Amino acid sequence: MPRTFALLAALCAPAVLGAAGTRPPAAVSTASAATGTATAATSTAPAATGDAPIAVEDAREVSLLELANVEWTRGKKLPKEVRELKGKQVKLVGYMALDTEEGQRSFRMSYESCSCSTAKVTHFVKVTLPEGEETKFEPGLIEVVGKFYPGAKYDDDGFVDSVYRVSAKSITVQ
Amino acid sequence: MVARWWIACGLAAAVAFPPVDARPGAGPAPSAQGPTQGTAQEDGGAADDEQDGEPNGDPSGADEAVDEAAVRRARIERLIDLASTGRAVVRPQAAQRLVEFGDEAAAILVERVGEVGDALEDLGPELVEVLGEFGDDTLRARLWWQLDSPSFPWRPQAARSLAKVPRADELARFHALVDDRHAQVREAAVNALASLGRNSAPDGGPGPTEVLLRARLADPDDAVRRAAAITLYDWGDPSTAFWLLEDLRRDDRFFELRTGERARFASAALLEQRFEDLAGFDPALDPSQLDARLAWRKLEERLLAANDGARPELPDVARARAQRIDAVFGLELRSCRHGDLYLRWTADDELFVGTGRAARVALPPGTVRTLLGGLDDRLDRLGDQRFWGASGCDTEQLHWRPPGAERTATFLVSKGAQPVEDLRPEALSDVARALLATLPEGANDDPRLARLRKRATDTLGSIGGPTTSR
Repeated sequence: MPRTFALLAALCAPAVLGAAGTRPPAAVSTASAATGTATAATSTAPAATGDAPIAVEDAREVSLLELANVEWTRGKKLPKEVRELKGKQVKLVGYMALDTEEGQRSFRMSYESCSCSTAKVTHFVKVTLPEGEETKFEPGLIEVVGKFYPGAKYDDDGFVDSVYRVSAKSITVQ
Repeated sequence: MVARWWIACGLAAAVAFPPVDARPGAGPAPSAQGPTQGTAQEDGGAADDEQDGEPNGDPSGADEAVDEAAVRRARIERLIDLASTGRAVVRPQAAQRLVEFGDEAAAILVERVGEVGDALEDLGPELVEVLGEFGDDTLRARLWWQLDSPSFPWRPQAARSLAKVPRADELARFHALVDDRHAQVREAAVNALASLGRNSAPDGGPGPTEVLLRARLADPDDAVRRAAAITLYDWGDPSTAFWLLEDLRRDDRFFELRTGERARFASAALLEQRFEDLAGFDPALDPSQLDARLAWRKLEERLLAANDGARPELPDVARARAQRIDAVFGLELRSCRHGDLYLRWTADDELFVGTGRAARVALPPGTVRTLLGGLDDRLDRLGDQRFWGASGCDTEQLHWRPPGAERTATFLVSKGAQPVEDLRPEALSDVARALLATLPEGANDDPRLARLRKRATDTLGSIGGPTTSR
């Protein structure tokens, strides 16, 4: 059975909720996921973990579609260019998976908003939220900035849990 | 008595702490509890496969005294449950692992689904997707039976399931499916015919199948066109590779959804499989960039050389669209049973139907201005809420991007296969009614426009419920 999840408009921060008001604003507001402080779109997003702030413009944009098109099977290495992103600051633009549950520490992100029931594991990036934050579903486009970790992780039953992960520093509604 | 107790305890232990599966590529069998049902590692750190390349399973082995058949049955039952109701990331993997149990799993699935009834629907889309791989006649007959039912929500999955290992005596049935209303079913049918081969028609020769596939080169859905084009290419017609080449020039979007880029990746993958390289073409690059254009030209030269210098005439629907569509409203409807429908309205009173080179309809002057006039009040009634329902295969999205706005507001209604009463808020139904009233109805030579209002009304009805006033 599909899991129900909350009817909430935005992710992580009250300021983002404000940005997702009924009428699309003329300019995009972004917010620190950690502090909820609204900032200009190109400003830095303060880190939640005490790390130095990451300038959004310094993060390398990685295409979720490109990641999804990687041919990967269990035990096979990811392409070199993907492996080389390990630990790098990346920017991803896409959608929260529709199966996102409220109140979790992580969610799956994809290049399109769909139930994607038969999609491959490479279609998703598992995004872990900054310390102290929990998921709230956002149906629109979001931008995630954080450290990228490629390579399969398995759950205790041997199922692939994720192939790509991002430890998010900021998440903003586009 | 002691022996029975011993078997029961051993069975419980073996299911909860299963042995590592020795089959190639298979991980350990799932346990009764544990991370499979919850979230696994929350950290973003090092990958497990940086260590050994394969996951570590629970090392405990099943005692040989345990009833092996009972253990295997319990494991199969557990996999069925995981494939039906486990976490989203686990369900397709559990279904695929189940296939490796072969006849044993098929027999249990046959017990579960019977010959009629809704049990197949209850198994869920991931399991339906793999049923054909068991090679079981009863399951196969069941898939066909369900495929004939328009109310069955997993028709695309059933079609793909059957298409993976199509049988020659099913040719006529696959022929019938290439005209299905659901694009994913059509695509599966084309792939099945590709597997069966051009000469598999009962009367021999390339006739009926090839004719059907050529008609799909003008399909409204780009995935169906690609499937037909690559099949005909593989059957010896080099001209159809130009359909894929054209996709490489696409940069269209449906609001923020990069439909053109998606098409570029899909076509690039198919071409790369045939040509080994893409002459430096990178589908991730904007096709208007110089590097992309130069590489595209090189690819075109290759295709021209293979096609005696001839450039085929592509149907309008298959052409890359040059014009950008700045839409004010959009409806993105994805229905388990009705398929997908993409509608956009521009401030210039134009309606666009579909993605890519969408069909254009000129609306009466002032139509969109009138729609805009009533929209603010309606959407204000929704407050900050943007999502209604639960994750599932049925989604309807209203996109709203007034002129000058830098982003699109999205209102999403979603549910699973079962109907949900009063799912769509009345304010969104109001908007939907106003938008539906602007759609053309009646016959049209363009399948994207034929009976459009009725199709959109039915599709919306199948997701958020009827759009009529409550």
